[in-house]
Order: sequence, then C-alpha cells, then structure tokens
Amino acid sequence: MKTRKKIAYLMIAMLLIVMALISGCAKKEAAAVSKYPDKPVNMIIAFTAGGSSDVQARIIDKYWKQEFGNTLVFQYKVGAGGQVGFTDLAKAPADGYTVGGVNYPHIVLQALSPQATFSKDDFIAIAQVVNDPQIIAVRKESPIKNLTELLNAAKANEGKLTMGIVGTYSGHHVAALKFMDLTGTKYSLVTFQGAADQNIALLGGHIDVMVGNLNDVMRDIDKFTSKTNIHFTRFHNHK
Amino acid sequence: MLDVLGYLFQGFSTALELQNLLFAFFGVLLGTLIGVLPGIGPTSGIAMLLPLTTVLPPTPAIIMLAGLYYGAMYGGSTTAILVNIPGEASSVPTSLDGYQMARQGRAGPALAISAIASFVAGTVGLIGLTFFAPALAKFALVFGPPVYVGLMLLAFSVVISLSGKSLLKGFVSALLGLAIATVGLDPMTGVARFTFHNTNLLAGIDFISVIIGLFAIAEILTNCEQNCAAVFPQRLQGLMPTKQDLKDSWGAIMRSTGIGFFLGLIPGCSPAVVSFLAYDAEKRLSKHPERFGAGAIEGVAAPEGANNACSSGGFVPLISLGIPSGPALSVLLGGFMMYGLQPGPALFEKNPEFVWALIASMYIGNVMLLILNLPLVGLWVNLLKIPYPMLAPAILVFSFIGAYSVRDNLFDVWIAIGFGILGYLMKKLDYPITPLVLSTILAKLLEVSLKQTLSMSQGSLLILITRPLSLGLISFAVILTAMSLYGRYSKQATAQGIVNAGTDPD
Repeated sequence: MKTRKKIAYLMIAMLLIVMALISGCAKKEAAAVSKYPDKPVNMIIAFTAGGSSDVQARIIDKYWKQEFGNTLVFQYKVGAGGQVGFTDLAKAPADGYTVGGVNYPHIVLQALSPQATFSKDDFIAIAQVVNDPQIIAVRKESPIKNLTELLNAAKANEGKLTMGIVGTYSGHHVAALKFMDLTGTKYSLVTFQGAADQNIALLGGHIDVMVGNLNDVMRDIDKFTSKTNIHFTRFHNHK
Repeated sequence: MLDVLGYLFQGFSTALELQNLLFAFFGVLLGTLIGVLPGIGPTSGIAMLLPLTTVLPPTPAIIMLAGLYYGAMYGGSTTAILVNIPGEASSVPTSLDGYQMARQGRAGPALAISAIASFVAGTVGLIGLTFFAPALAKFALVFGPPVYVGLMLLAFSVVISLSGKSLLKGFVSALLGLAIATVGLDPMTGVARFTFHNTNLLAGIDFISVIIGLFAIAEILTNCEQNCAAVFPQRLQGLMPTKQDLKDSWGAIMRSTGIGFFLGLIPGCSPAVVSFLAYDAEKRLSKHPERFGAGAIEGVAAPEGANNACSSGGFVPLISLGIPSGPALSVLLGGFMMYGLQPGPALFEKNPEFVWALIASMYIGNVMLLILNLPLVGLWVNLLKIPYPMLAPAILVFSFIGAYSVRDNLFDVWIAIGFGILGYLMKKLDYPITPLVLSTILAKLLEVSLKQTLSMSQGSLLILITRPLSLGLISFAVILTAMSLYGRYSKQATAQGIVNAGTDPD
C-alpha cells in the first residue's frame, strides 16, 4: 500500500513538472499582425486608490473598454507625491503595454529637483484628459470678499496672512509664488499633505486663504468663495 | 429626533432587502478576513474591490465597502490574541494583554470579549452618527494643526506606560521609531532623508512592514529558538467569558467607546492611535494597573472597543462633510465619487434613501459580525493546538504576502525581514517593541502638524499656548506624563511592584 502511494505521488509530481516545463516554453512566434492591444495594458497610477487620479483613471478605463475591448490593469505605485509611480512609468519597457497618468506640473517640477529619478523627456504624452484649473479660495464667512480686498489685507498684515497649498514644489506652490510675485504681496505658506486636509483647515478657519484645484473645491462649492482663476501660465482676474 | 427615526426606519427597510443583506455580509466577511491577515488592510481591500463599483448599483456596493472597513476592525484582534501578531496597527495594544491571556489558556474569553466590545462600541458609535452627525461634523472642523500637535504629544505620553521595566529602554525604542519614520521624503519640503539614493526608500518605510517584521517575524524567530511549542496545547477550559470577565470589561468598553468615537471624529486620527490611548486610559484608571500586560481582560476590551468606535466615528466627517479621516476612508470616498455621489450635507438632501440605507446597514453589519465572530472563537482557538513547526511557515507566508501587498513592492518584504531581525535582537536585549511601533505611527502626523503650526505662526511656538484647545491638550499631556512618572518612581509603586509590570510579553 505504501509503495503504491509513493509511486502515485511520484507520477503526479512528474506530471506537474512536465506541465510546468511545457508551459514555460515561450511561444517565439514573431509578432504576427497582432492588433494592438492584444493583451490588457497596464496603467500605473501614482496616487492612492480613491483619489482624483484614480477616479479619472477609471473613467478612462470605461472608454478604453469601449474602444479596445479589453481593460486597463491598474497598478498603484504610491509614494513621494507621485514620484514613485512616475519613476516606474519612466523605467517601464517601451512596448506600448504600460501607460500611466502623469500630472502637470508635478512631472516637470519633480524632474527638475535634486532627487529626480526621471526626466520629463522619458515620457510621451498621448492625450490630455483632465484640465483642472487652480483657484484661490476663501471660506464663505471670510471678511475678504474679492481680490482687491485680499490684496489689501495681505499688504496690511505683511506676511501674516496664511495661505494653504498642497505639497511643496507642486503646482500650488509655484502658483502661490507667482501670485506673490505678480501682486507684490507676501503670505505665510502652510503646506498640507492633501486637498482634504487643506479644505478642512480652510473651513475651520485655521488658514485664511488657499490655492486649490477646482476639482477639490467644487464638492462644497457653496462653502467657499473662489476668486481668482490661476492657470498654469496665464493669470486671469475673475471677480 | 423623530424624523431621524423615521428616516432610519426607511433605511432599514432598504438595508434589509436581500441584495443589500448579501453584500453587507460579503463585505463584513471579507473585512474580517482582511483584518486577520497581517499587512493587507482595509485600504488595500477596498481598493481591490473598487472595480466592482462599475458593475454594481451604488447602495449594495457602498454597503459592502463600508462593511469591509469596520469588519477589518473586528478581525485584527484575532491573530493579535492567538499568536501575538496584530493584523492591523489598531490591534497592537490588543496583543499586549490578549496574547498573555492566550498563553494562560484564556484565548476564548479574550476573543469573545474582543468581539463583544467591538460590537457594543461600534453600535453605540453608530447611534452617535445617526443622531448627531451634523453637529458633530462641525466639531471636526475645530481641530487645526496646533490641536493635532497637542493630540500627538498626548499620544506620545503613552510610551511611558508601555515601557515596562526600563524607562530608558522605552525611550530608546520610541526614539528609534521616530528615526525610522524620518526615512523618506520630508513631507513638507520634499527633501530626501536617509534614502541613500534608493528609489524604494524615497517613499519611506511603511509602518505595516515594521509591524509585520517586529511582531510576526521576530515572534517566530524567538519561539523557534526556544522550544517551538504550540501556544497553549492543553485543553482549554472555557471558550466564553465568565460573568466576572463581563463585569470587569464593562467599564472599559464604555470608556473606550467614548474615547474612540470622539477621537474618531477628528480627521487624521486613525484607529491605531485611538486604541493606544484607550488602552493607556484604562490602565491609568484601573485599581490594579500592574495586571496590564499580564493578561488583563480590560486590556483587550479597551483597544478593541476604541478602534470600532473610531471607525463609526470616522463616518461622521465622511458622510456629513465629505472629509475622510484616514486612507481607507479616502478610498471609500473614491467609491462614492465613482457614482457621482458627493458626500456632504447635499447628500442628505439629494439622496436620503442611500445615506440612511448605508447607516442602517452598518447596524446590521455589526450584528452580523458579532454572530460571525462569536461561534468562530471555537474554531480560531484550535489554531493554538497546531504544532508550531507547521503554523510558523504559514504565518511567514502570510506575512510576506502582507508586506508585499502594501505597495506592490518586494522591497517592503526585505524591510519586514530586517525588522524581524531587529525585533528578535530587541527581545533578547529586553527592549520593549511597542514604543517603537507607536512612534512610527505617530511621527508623521506630529511632524506635519508641528511644521504647519509653525508656518501658521511664522515660526513662533507660542501659538500652541494661545490656542485654547491646543493649550488644553498639551497641559493634559504634561499632567498625564507627570502622573505616569510619579506612578513609576514613588516608593509605594515600587512596593506594589508596578514598576516591574512589564507590558511586553517575553
């Protein structure tokens, strides 16, 4: 009985090994006219699941499915304000099966920093899918009602008005600095880890004004008074 | 009040529909499993299930995802009690007393009390959510950066009570935790610290890997060195808690519910922080604090109650203001957004059926979890009888999977192994591990809040004292610290042996 069992196990083991060997042999056919994409494409998302980048990616996925039939495989590579994910994307093989969402101006600013792990030329842009302007906002109960009052208040309290931004060397940071340059006013910049924290701080009165993205603010649009539309290179005045 | 009850009743009628019941069950079941497995937490769990939102209608999908979140708070304590491996950061304090109880043959009561405490706390928290959500949401806004600094300092004072015999070693452990937390990018300026030009380290050392290494791997290394015996191979006496147990735990459950719920309202206050605070509060208020760390049942009830109350409390700012209190809730918020549902006061007006169905399903979910977990106690307890040489490799496999799953990065597994070795050395040299874990969890929030506070005040620390809430918390932290130190060093304490009450199972 024992010997028969042993032989049975041995045969199963041999069978498994043979199967593994066969499946390991890659099919080396030349890529016959295969329609791209003939297998699911990886999409690297550099921010956490559930965030704006993720939501946007899923919208893209919806249309991708309609267009190409197979889905995008999401890979979350989170960390360092997107840098970990962007680096992975930069180093991925250029075979068309790895795409990723990159954010401007993160992708340019991070490439310029001393600890850059990629350069902006490592990427080719396929399509712009999101346009999310930055705005300056105060909460509804704030005594500041328009841009002129903001500038007056800033000049009166030289440097003491607190302005919230998300992340250093981010789009918000650059926009805030440019705003200070253009208007000749100074603020104390308070950096937050994410738009959620920044929103709470503004609504709770812990900061006076903030540079935010329209996407993050529009959820509670009636709680904010948004004043100026700061586009990345342009500067409009909306009262 | 009455109209709230009316809405809730309507919500129950939706939540009790078969589809919603099934998805609630699926969510809490999965949540429990995810809580049990070290490393994979509700954040990754919800993220993995998010694609289902594309095929499911909103109500069952969100019911399921929410169930996953609070279900994980139930599951984390199981392995913490049985094999001293917390499944979640919020179960770390549970392992301090729970594992000791398991070694005394009282794993059954420990598991049962943990389920009961979780149920009571979760449900009471939900009652708070139901009736007081809008008012409480405003409360959450009051907490600005200076108040967070006070809260973190309060949490750090817990280190003293976790330090066991040698306060100095406890401090070393805590400082080591702070040092580990600095690795990575500075959260405010983006400067790379201690990354040695390694891209993996840029993202910092994830505390889940630290917990897995220090608890799971170090525990296996230490056990294998001795006799590799099963945790408690003899026949277990009782599986259910005795009347005395219930009497002892009652106060702990009530207090931890209060602490957990109110702190859970604060965005950024994670269940992990809250469970440590509740454990410490219980220890201070107890007439026999030396029992803590040696198998006190209140030491199991308090953290478990707190983390469930915190998870209920976390839904208040989420549903009322659309502000997530932690990473798992952020992912859940993403789920809301997939359906175009904006959490906030508008949601109560535009989609009341959805909101109340969700709240009602959470009550049902907690009941399901209680029913799931209590009978399972008998099943889990059998794990203790498995010969250790067979259990340990299984634990290792799950640990590695857990460490990998945090960021899809093999590097995190190496970190976990490294910390396993560190944990082993620390145990040999009698350094307490828990302060290290606590510091790692608290460090980032403390640093960020402190820097934000200083930005707000243009560099002056006085702001911490001029803001009343912050002043209050800091004074409280100072008072508690002084009391702890007094308790350790007074002559009476030495006589009672409080100083020798180790909180680390060896």
